[in-house]
Amino acid sequence: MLSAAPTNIATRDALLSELIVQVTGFQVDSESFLKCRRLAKKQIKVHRWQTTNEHEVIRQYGGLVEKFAVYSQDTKADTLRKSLNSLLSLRPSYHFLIHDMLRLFLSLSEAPLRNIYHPCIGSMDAESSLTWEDITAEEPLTGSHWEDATDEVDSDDGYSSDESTKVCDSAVTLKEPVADRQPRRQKHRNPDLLSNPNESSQKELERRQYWTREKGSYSLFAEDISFDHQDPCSLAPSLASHQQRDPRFFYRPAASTVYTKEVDFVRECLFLLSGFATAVFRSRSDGSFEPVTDVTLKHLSEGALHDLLQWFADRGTAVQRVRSFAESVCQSEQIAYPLTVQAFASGLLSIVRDFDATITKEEKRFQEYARKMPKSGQQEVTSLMALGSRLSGKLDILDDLSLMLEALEIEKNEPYRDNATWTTQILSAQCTSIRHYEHTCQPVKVSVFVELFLRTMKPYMDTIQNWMDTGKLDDPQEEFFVASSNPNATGDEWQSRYILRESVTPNFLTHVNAAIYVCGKSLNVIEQLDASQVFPELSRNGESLYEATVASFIEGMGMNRKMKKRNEQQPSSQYPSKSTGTGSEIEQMFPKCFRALISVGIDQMDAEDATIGVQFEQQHLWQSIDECFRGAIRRHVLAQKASVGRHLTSILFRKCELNDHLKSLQAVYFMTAGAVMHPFCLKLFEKVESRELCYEPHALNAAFAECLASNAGTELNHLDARCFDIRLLNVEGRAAKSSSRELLDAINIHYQTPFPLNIIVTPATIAIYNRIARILLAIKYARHCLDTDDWRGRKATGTSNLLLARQRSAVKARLMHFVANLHAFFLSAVIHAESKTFMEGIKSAQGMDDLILMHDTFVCAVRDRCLLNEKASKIWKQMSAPLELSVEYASLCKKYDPSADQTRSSDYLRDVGVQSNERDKQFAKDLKQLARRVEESVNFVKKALEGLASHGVQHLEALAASLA
Amino acid sequence: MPREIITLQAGQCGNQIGQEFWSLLCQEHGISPDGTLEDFATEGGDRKDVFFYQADDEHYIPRALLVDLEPRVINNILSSPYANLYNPENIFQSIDGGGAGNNWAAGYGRGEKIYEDIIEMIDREADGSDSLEGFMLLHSIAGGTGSGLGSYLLETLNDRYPKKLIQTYSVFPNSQETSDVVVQPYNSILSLKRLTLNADSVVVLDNAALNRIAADTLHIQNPTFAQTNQLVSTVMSASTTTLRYPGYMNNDLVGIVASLIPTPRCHYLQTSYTPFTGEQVDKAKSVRKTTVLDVMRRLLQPKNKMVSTNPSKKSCYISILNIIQGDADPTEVHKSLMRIRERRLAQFIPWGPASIQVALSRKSPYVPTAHRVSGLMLANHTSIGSLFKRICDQYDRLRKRNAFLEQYRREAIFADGLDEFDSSREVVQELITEYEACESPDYINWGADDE
Repeated sequence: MLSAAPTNIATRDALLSELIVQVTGFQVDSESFLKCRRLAKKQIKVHRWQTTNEHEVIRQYGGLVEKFAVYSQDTKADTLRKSLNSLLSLRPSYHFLIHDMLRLFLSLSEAPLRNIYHPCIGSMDAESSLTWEDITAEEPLTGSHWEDATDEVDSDDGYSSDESTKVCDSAVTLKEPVADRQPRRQKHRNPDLLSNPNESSQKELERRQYWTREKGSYSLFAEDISFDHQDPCSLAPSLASHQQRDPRFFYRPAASTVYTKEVDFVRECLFLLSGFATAVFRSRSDGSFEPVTDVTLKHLSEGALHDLLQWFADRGTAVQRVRSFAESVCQSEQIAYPLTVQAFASGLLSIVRDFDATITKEEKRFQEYARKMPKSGQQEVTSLMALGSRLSGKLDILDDLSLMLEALEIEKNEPYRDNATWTTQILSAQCTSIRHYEHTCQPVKVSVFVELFLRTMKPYMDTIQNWMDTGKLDDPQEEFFVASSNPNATGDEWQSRYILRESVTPNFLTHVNAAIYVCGKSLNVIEQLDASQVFPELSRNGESLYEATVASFIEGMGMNRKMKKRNEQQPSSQYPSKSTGTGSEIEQMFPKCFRALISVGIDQMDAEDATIGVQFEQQHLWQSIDECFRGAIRRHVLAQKASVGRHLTSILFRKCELNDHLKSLQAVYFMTAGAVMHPFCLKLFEKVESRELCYEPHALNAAFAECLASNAGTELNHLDARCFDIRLLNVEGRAAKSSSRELLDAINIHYQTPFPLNIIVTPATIAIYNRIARILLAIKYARHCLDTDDWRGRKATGTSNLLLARQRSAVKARLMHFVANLHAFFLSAVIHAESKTFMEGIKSAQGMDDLILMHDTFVCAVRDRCLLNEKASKIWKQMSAPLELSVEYASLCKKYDPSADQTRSSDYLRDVGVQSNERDKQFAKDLKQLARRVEESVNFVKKALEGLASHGVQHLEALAASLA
Repeated sequence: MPREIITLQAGQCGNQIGQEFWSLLCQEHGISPDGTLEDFATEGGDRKDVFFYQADDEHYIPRALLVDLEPRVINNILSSPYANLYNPENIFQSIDGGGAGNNWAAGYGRGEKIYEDIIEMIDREADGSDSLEGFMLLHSIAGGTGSGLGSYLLETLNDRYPKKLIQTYSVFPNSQETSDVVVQPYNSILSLKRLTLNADSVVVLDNAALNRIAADTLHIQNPTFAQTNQLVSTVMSASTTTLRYPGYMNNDLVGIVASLIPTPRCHYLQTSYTPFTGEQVDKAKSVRKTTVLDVMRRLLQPKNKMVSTNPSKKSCYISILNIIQGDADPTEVHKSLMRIRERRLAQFIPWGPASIQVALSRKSPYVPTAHRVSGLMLANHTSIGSLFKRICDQYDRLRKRNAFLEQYRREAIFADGLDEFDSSREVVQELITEYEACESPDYINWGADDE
């Protein structure tokens, strides 16, 4: 309308001042007036006033008429219709004047078109309903029970008739203006009415009231409270009778009860819920509340009232518990609470504040009723039940929170409690609650708890982020499930520097705790390798882990990412510190969808609960909240872990030359570097046979270095003799007496692994490497014995020599076949194959743990496939028998070697010449025995391996076939 | 520490196949014909020092002795691009240049005369080695120099280096056709005695089989010596590949020979190679799929054998060594071995194990081949006895007639009679008997009752 006014500013200001004076009544230039004018000017300045749409206005008024008609307010509808017609029939000079006026009325009214219609007694059309006045005019209420109840009681029992006489002197304003009842009663005691001819009917009616008791069947109270026809809604008579029969109040003196109005109870409940002291509820020693029993209502039995009040008392207790915990944590200056506990308390506090706001709203509503009641003279609906139903949603949540606190025993928040356990309990309990509410289809509670949970986990997530992004443990309160270990702890750097405390991992992180732990440790290793290393790019586009997780979670729940983005534009705040958690902050921090859900859900719980539930359920029908959240965390944690892992892996390969070290280990322990290890083995065997090794064990290192040096410039450049230390173990003092086999078994190769590769190549794995190396040495030695036997036989002539040579050949062929095939199987089918797979596999390793696992798996796989596992020790013992027989064969050949005799004198030869035939016979006999043993041994091994192969160890089938 | 091998090339055939062998070795190791290392061959990961050593100017010199009694072949070599490859001190040409005239006795006799020169060359090479593994003799047994001088060299080496391994690559004559060398059965018998008694292993190469492979596999009806020599050099190169490209197994010749030759006498080895893709032979360039099993199966096929033998029903393998070159999966190898054993694709001696060894080896990175996997089989098979029987038959026919013996009698070794012929015939007969014994289940006692 103002848009149609002159645009002249002065004129507008004058009009504005006039309007303010007219509307508010403030004096010009008074302070209030100036405030109003400032506000109005501001409104005018920022507001765009549109021209009135006449059709819309008419349509709106038409709608209003229709609405009245629908709600049976025909008079109003007719009046409005007539007024509207008469108004519209006018033809003012300014055409839109009427429409503008009508629009102004609509704007000034409380949006009657949109308001929900609340039927109330006062608004009913008086003329269309039957009133008690009409009834009593026709049928006067007669009988003693129509007299004032209090007077009757007083007169009977001799107590004061004044209701204001209180047994309990309450500080609360129980100043119910009882006087207003008196005129009505007096009115009803009008003698005209008493003399109503329909008295008998009235009596009959009275008799038929269900609370009317038969004479003599009830206690002394039976006749005290009778039906009040002035107050027909009052249930006092019936309740009085109930009260007499209620054992809880049976022995109580009747006069000790104070009757008051329900509106006072409502007020008391509001006080209780606001955290103030009340007269109706008293506090127990344990901090809980209970209702007092000496104040009651007329229209409720004391039992019913007690139950109602008990409900409020319980809720009040819950609210008080939550409130006191939240405030004590947030306002505590002395005790350094864990950050998670602080965040939790802050979240609780914001819920309590939110609840307080609701209570304030309820109080206003209550005050309106309180004001209206004396004026209107009509009964307003202000009941405990209504209050309870309005607040039950939020109270239920607070009650649940209180139960959670109780379950957590969080009130006993002693500072000496283990912070990690405390934190974990808080987070886990919330997570469990969310799951529970989700399963029991309580979407509103889910929303509240999700919000609380998101707030609570913020500091924890920040700790995780710090750990995962920098590798530093920023956890002053020791809440985190990763902790620095005792500096005196022994063990390797990787395993013992930080420890993963599984028992204090919140349940929503159990699936990623290992990944988080490893990620931070990896960063520590990276930093130790080179402090100037650039940490890997974050996989979250600059978002914090918390933000990214929440965003993913929201997306995962099927909600709109845009909402989140819009929120992000607002200045993001840290998680609220002590006593700073307010609703506005939550709105900034959390997606509006949650807020919307919460507010809508709670305010309209009764009406729209089901609908919201359906919507909410539909949105995450395919995935539970718990899973969705875990998935969101998993995604970001694993992404970061993979990123760090890749970075670490690349450093290990690039800077620490992991590949070369692994190749070196295989080259030496698995003897894949034939060019070095073959000559080294020959030298070693030479030293073993000549017993030189017993006296010069250190010569092994020199021999190894020499063999390595002769291969300088080849592809074995990565081998560094300095890393290896070859020595005999556990044979000190008895080396000279040891057999060749024992000496070879005593050989131990130590590999000096630099940091951080010693994390991967641990002493345990080196021990396995050594075990495999010793077995390979044993095989190679057996083969060496067979190879260097006088196999050429160039001079073997003559039949007897030939037969002996054939016998030797047969035994040797058998042994050679076994040894060569075993050697080939171990080196080719096991070591080469496994090594190939392993070396290709580690290229795709995603971090230290991957590398450790792959390496351990590789070494153990080689060990197991070579039957060196403890479980296969019996089989291996049998398999090693032919190896020992090979050595035995070689020594037998040496023993009977005729060429050895050539070194002796010719006289000796002449003497023993006659014995040579005997010697050959003995040799043949020994060979025969050896051949039998070889045959038995090989057959046994073959059968054993075939047996194993038939039980699923398939790779042994090939070995069994090749050894046979 | 290399296990060096000194190569001795005797006679026309020996020097020709030797020349092909060194030429191929140079290609595989990235060595230019003048001995210098090619620019691209600095990181081969190979062991050149088994067959080469380096001069002061770091150019590679083969550990090879070139011995011939006529200058033609060596002159050809010296006029080839490889003229500067060899150590000139290791080339021995007869001063008179007359040659042995296809007479074993002449070659053997000339050997005695040049003993000092030869032994000086051998000793020098042997002393220049860190850890000498043995000697490799390349020769033919039908001519004069290769067989006669070669026999003399074998005896000399055996006496002088009894602990060193002696392996020969011996080209046997085409016994099924009338050869231009009439006295080849004499020469062969005399050489076979030395090969049997003085060598540790003999890789038998058969001209008849080489011609057959050239005709059937490579589709060359009339192959030249150069073409058949390339086949030989391929086989020689493949058989030494485990020594030149060391792996985790079979790093020395002793290991290979020991597993192949369980019975000392039976040390004649047959070879098979697949697939042949000589760049010189366009028609053989068809590329086939090569898996380990394919290669191992083809190696057992008679048509791929490089010796023409007549196997009987009793013939069997004493042992087999397959050298697989290229990208072979070790698990695939063992599966293939299982398959061969299950299907009994190869028959083995009844008195011993079915010994099939497989050595995996790398390929030269400088010689591109179309095939993923190639294989060489070194097999100890009793059917080789049939070859000796044929030679003995031919010898017996000549000897019965006392044909062409005059020229032998002129030499010192036969001056006192022809006992050497009889002795050689006896050794070869023992050898044939030994192979027959190997085919018997009662190998150990076979022939004991005859005594």
